[in-house]
Amino acid sequence: MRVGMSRYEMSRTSARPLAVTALLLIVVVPILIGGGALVRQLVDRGFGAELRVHQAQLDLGSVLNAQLDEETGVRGYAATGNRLFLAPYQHGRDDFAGSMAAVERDAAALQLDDRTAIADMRATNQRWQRLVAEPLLRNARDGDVIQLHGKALIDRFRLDADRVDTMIAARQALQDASTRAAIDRINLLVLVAVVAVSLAALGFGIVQTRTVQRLEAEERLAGELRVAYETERRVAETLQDAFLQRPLPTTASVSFSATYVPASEEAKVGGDWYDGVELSRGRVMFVIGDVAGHGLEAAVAMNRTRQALVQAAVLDADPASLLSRVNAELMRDRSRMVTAVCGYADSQNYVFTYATAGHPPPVLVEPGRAPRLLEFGGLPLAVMDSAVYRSHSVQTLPGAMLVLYTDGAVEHSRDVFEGEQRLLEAVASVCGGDPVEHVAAAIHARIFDGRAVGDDVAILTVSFAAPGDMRTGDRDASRIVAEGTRGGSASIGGTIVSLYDRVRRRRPPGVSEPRRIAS
Amino acid sequence: MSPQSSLTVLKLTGELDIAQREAVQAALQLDAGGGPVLIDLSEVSYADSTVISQLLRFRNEAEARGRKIALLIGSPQFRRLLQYAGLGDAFAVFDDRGRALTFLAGGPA
Repeated sequence: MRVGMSRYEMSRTSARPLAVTALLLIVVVPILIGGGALVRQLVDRGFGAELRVHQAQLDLGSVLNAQLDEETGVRGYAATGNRLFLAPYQHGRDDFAGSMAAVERDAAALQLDDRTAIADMRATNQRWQRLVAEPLLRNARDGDVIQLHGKALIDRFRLDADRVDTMIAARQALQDASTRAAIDRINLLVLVAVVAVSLAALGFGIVQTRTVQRLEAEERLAGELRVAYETERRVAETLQDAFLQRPLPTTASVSFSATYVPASEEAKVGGDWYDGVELSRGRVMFVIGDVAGHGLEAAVAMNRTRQALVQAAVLDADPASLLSRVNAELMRDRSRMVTAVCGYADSQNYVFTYATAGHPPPVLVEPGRAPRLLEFGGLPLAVMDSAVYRSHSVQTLPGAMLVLYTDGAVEHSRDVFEGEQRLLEAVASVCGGDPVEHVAAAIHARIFDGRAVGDDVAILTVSFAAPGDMRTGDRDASRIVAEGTRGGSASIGGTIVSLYDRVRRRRPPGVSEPRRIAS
Repeated sequence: MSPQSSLTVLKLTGELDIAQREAVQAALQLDAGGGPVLIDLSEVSYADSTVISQLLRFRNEAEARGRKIALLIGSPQFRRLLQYAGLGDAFAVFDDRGRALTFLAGGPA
């Protein structure tokens, strides 16, 4: 019967900071690249618009200069009649057409909404040519009147030019505003980039710090668990070793053999145990038991049950009342569930008397007969106050052997009948062959045949000496005395002393000295 | 409690070992009713000492509340394990559902 220990898994999370940083970079880098391209586009556009505005202003200046040359030439010629003035006029006329076309192109490029002023400039200049310049150059009469009219037309022309200049200036202001906006965006983008990179660095730092802290905490916890686990295991093993190593008595008429093999997969101490105690000459008590679970708690419960059983064995000669007594004690202690078989071997009469509590049946082997399972029954100890136990007595022969075992010996396959069969065959095969002190180990070896053992297994054998084995001739093997189990009460006083001495002598380290039970 | 009190059936299946301890613990909970309880283990082939111990604890609780319990067993192997544990002393054990129900309907615990 085993309880597995939960394993503490440590999670390694050092990959997480890298993931967080990678995620941040995946977000930040495209923002920076896209933002950079956008800013560049804005700057290019702003710079191009700046150039176009400047060009438009230059071209408008050229138009005004050309118009001024025309006017100067015409007025000079009209005032002096000197043909020398016709040169600036001609020069101005030549320039005017090209400059005006350039202004129209600039207006289109700058997408000026209102181009009527430009059209008006061209129309006004044409009217001036037709109505002022040409008549004056033909030396027409009424020159003063014509000149007055020309002044009005030129004023109108200049007014239109002013309007165009205003529109170009407005366009420039608009362009300046969008350039400022672009600069603002650049600033914003830089800010975002700085914040994002800072956050990434901060996040990385926090995650890394936490990871380091968690790893340290996990390591600390694992260390503590390891120490606690090791300590518990050591204590439990010490306890169990102390008990399992308690030597079994060797008497002339009754021999014990025993084996205990812990589960192979986990280095944990189980709750299986066995005991053999010589109570008086020719009379021994035997116990095998199993505390549910594993570890220190199971070892302590086992210790307690064991003490209780051995002490009660002194007061009671009846196995059933012994179990009832111990059950009451374990119920009071709120102990774990315990299964057990306990009993007495009476070598005077070759009688085994025993009782079982939630435990698989004992096996009896008699010379010349196949091994058989004995009667059993009764609830485990420490589960019910009102549990009732029954004693069974088996009259056997010299050379008879009782085999007691824990459930691991039959529940190794999930078919318990198969387990029983295997056990009986193993017992049959070792009978007579092996030296009596190795019988238990031999039975274990035959059952498991080198296979891994999934549960703890304890096996205890109690044998009456066969006539040929007898080292003392003080018994008549054929004598069968119908002495009741209470018949031994006469010797109980002596038994107590001998048991007390025995227990005290063999007291394992750390276990308190047994009290003398009766005076 | 009258024979008409409603019956509670708790069914467990499979191999019940320490690994199923939590699940068994969750399944073996007494409801608020007062009727008899049938623990149907007809599809259980194995139970280790942990589960035996849980069954006994459940039985003690049920008894304290005056509720009648029957165990229904299917697998002979499992019946044998219950024999080992002496559960016949603590439970009415049946391998026939009809008999189990007749027992449960048969009056007060």
